[in-house]
Amino acid sequence: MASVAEVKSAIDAVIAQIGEVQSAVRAAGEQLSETQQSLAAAVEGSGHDAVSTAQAALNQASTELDEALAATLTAVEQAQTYLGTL
Amino acid sequence: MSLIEELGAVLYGTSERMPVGEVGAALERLRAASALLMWIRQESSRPIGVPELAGATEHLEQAGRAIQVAQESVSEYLAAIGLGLDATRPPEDAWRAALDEPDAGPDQAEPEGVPAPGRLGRWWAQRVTVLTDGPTDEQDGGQGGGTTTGGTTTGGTTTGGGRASGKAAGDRTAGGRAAGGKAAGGAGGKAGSGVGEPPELLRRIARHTRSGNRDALRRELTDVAPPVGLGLAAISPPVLYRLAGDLLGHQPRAADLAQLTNTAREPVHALLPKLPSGVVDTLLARVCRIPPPRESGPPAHPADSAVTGAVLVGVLLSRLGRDPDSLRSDAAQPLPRDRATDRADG
Repeated sequence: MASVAEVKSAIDAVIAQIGEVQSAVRAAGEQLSETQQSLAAAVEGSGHDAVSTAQAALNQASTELDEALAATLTAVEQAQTYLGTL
Repeated sequence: MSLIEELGAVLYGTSERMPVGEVGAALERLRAASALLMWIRQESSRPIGVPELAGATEHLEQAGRAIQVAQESVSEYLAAIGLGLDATRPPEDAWRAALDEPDAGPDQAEPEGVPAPGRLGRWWAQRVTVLTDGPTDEQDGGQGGGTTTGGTTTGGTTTGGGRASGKAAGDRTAGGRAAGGKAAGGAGGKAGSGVGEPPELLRRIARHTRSGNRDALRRELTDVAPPVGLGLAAISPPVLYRLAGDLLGHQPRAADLAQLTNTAREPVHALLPKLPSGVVDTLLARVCRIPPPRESGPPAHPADSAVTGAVLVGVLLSRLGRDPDSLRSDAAQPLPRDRATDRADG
């Protein structure tokens, strides 16, 4: 049978894992930003559809990473709030 | 180099630097955290962040797909300007991105007054002991090293437990444990004596899998802090995908599931006799990029997929004839796929 201490420990472990996810997402976001800048500089002046598609896709990826990060922050808040009720 | 060639090189390099592997690694870590949180909150009416993590997972999946679209578009553009470079191929070492531990962020600081997750060690160690069909006296995770009974008590290990155990213990002593490292930080009890980071643990598990030493495998796993052990679930999938591809000679697909299952199921269950039957199927279905079989009943124990994923890595490495150290980020790239195919067929 699980004890309160075990549940707390398990939630602590989840929070630590999410912390790693957040670090990884931030790192991916920085790398993505660099590639966006690099692509923009390289294709400046091009009106090719494929270029527009690539840039739009990278913008979307950046937005998705931001939203993923925000969702994990909310999840951590909820988990910590729950910890406080145990 | 002409101007066009120079432009092509820049675009190709840009595409190669797009963080496909990094997003994939983050996604696997998130899935592992979600699995643990879902397991914690079974039967609870409080969501404790589960829906948010599901949403985050979807966003990361979308981000990964968007990056792939960007790579394909760059590739299309390169073709349109007369340069047939394939910019969609990921960098050769992208599969090892998950094996790089991310830097500890500010969110990971240990809050004051929060009890160390030492008690979780019992929970983790108990499950590992069940999976490996270990003796019950090792299940109460606070028994120090717990190494004295394993070799002779279980007797189910395929290659002489005693000697291999001694070697394993020696390996651990010399193996540069990062005790007190980020992942293990704050873990009390016997957890403090374990390997500090999941990638190192993965290599050790692969070594014990290769030797078929179930006792050493159990000790290695029960010795680590639960977050380190659970972290295996996050880092194994991209490695499995790559190794399966090397074994098959092409990227794994749905038609390969039966072959991979035939290759891996028996050795996995020899080391994890009490593993629920669906775990291997689920992990291999993910490797083949097909939806895993639907499961009824409560969520699987989070330790199951973590342990099984690592053992599967060991099985595939063994089939490829590779040393676990080939997973090190500074190791030379493994053999080309065509040569690996020869091994798989032979």
